Amino acid sequence: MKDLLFMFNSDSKFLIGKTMIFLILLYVAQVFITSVFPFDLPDTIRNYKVIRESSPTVIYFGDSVMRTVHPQDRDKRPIYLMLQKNLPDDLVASIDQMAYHPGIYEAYVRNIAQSRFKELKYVIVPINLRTFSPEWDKRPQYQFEKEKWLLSYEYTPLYSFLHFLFSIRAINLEPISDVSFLQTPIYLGEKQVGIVSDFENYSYKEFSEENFRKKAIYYYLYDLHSEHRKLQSLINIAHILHEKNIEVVFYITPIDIESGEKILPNQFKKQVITNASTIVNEIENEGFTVLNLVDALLADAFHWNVYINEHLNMKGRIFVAEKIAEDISRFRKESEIQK
Amino acid sequence: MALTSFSYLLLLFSAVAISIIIPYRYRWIILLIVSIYFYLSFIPSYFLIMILLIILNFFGGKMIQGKYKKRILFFIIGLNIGILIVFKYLEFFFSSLLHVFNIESSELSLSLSLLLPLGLSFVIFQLISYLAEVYKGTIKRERHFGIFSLSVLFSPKIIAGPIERPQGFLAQLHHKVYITFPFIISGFKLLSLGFFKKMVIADRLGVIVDTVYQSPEQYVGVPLIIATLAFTFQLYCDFSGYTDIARGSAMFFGYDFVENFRFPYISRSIKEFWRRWHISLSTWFRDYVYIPLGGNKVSQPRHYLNILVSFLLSGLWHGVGWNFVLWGFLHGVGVIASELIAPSNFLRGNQFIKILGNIFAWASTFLFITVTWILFRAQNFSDAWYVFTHASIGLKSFAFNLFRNDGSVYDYVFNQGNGLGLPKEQIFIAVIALLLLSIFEFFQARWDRTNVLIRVSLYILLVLGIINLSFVYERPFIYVQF
Repeated sequence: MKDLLFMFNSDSKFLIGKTMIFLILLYVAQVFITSVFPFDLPDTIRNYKVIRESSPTVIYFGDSVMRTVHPQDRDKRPIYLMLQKNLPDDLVASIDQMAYHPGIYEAYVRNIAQSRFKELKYVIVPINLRTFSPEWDKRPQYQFEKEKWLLSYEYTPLYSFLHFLFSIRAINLEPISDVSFLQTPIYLGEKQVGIVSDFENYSYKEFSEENFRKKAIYYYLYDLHSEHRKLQSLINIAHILHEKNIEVVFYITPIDIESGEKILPNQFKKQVITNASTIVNEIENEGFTVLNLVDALLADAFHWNVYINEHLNMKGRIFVAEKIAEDISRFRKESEIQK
Repeated sequence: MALTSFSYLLLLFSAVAISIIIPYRYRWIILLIVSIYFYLSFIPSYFLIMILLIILNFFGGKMIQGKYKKRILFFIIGLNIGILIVFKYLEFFFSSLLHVFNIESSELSLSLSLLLPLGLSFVIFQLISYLAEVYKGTIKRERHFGIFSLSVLFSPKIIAGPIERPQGFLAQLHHKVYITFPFIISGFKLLSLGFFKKMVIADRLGVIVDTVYQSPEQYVGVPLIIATLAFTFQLYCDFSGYTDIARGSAMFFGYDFVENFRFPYISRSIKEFWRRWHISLSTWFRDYVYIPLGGNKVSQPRHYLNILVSFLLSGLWHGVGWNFVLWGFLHGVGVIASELIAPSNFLRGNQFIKILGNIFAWASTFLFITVTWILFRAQNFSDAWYVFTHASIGLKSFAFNLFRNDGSVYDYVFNQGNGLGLPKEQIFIAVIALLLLSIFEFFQARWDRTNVLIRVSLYILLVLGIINLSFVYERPFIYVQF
């Protein structure tokens, strides 16, 4: 305790005063620097800030499904631009992420809730079933931790110091290591059939039935539980937007079930439909609706026609854009009736 | 646990907080626990080697005071060096032997690649100096096993020094030092300087150095020069940054480590350079190798031989490989040359000639140091030779094209091989940061005479640099591998 007494003798008090002045000066300078020269932002956040300035009425959380275009498509527009045509009175903006992740969408929505999005009426959140599989959910590159922190703390004093906290690894930007990812169990329904490393080396280019079967199991045939973190993020998104009087439009992305049934008859469709139902039930239990398009399209509406996927060609994208527009029109009518 | 990580800062500040609260007589226990935890966070099994060394030298110090003290001294020093050889040099010696006799190592299935325990070279040198000082009677042997262990294991310095003498840190552990606010402020100042050097400059320049030196044969001319210059500053910022963090961490507790660097790149001779670079190591070699060999109190050829032996050993201490041996030899030759052609011997006369002579002396010393760093950084001797022989290729056309502004210079510098590994704005940041560091060190040398506004502004710039420009990707400290 003597150290403590020494620390606060009269000489130290003078030094403490000087230090406090130094820290205040430092803080003011740092806040100024962050506002004038925003630090190294990922492109996605930079784009988001541009969108925020444009005051859209509809925001679409996109991923590769939204933007994938088949070389033979006559109409090469991504889904959100097709939707823009269907909703001429709205301004549709797409917040695009390299890979689908409701966790990062939740961070965007939290930021939206604190920002000046005065015109925003609808937020469209696709639900991509493949991304709930361990293959996607646990992949280290698809965690977007940096983006989550930057969005979540933009309006706090901590924001100015985030770069430093990243640098000294006070914030873990890699919550899942490559090693733990490769050891993640893979399930066929409820039965474990291996770990990620057993499935990672199957190439798209090897067109064998065994390869497709493995891929189908790896990507789609897990058994979805209601506690899944991505599902919880979707529910959080709905509640946050509801509090701000913004309608959320959930839709489950179509999957090429026709091709899936050829590889895993009586198994593929059953598991995918069950997983989709789990999502629909959980979200509807919270008082929100989901547009379930999981089995709405046949194989000819998909981008790849050799193996199961959820990437759409022009036909598929037009269909989805129309369905979303219908849903938004329904919301609009309902709210007008309520008024 | 890297010294620039949040985990380390948390450990350090927790230790400071606990040390303030508990009675002084228990502080060594806290520091020892923290130091052991810190060391175990790397490779736990090598902690056993450290325990073995501590026991060996603690009881060795006791035995040195008894009968046959000289024999015991040499025996225990021999054991220390034996441990160092087993872990650091055995594979090198065997592979060199096999190479001499033209035998493929795979034929003998030699598996001698033991991983070097962290900080072993530094710890063993510190322990040898303890034994030597006890033997000479300049200090009494340490009777407190805990304090002795702490003097060896103290977390900030165990990885890469400074190599503390027993008269320094070990003696300070017996003095009652209260943690005061001025100590804490001094600790933060050193920590900030270390973080700036390491995270803003060294880690950033390290990308250029690693990219080019990974496969130097993909480059010719200017990129090789840029990478070598980058390494010159990376090494200084990395190692002196480490020392600043270590000294700053010790300062929080009121302990003062020896100064390890004193603006080495302003030296005007190689001899002066070694009075400014890794001072704790160069003085160690001076006191325990060079002087026992006779120092300069012998014939001139023998004196030069003593210098060469000291520097050859210094080269070998730094790294395992013939490039390090050659590097040490060249520096030995450089020191001898500095003695023979010291600028003060012939720089007499008017002021202008003096200034010109000093500039020449500085430039030639800097060039010598930079060129010899190639041996230090290259992965092997043939890579080093490649850099030596290809760095000047195309310089003429480079200088010619510099004024044409048609993009060819940019392509030549930035688009060779894998490029320089860093976007040009990052290189710009590194250059600006180096400039800021130079200004800081310029004023630091005359701190007491510097206006308070300049001092505060410099520290604010330094801390702002750390907060905003730290390189996110962690790179280990270079000297940790030694």
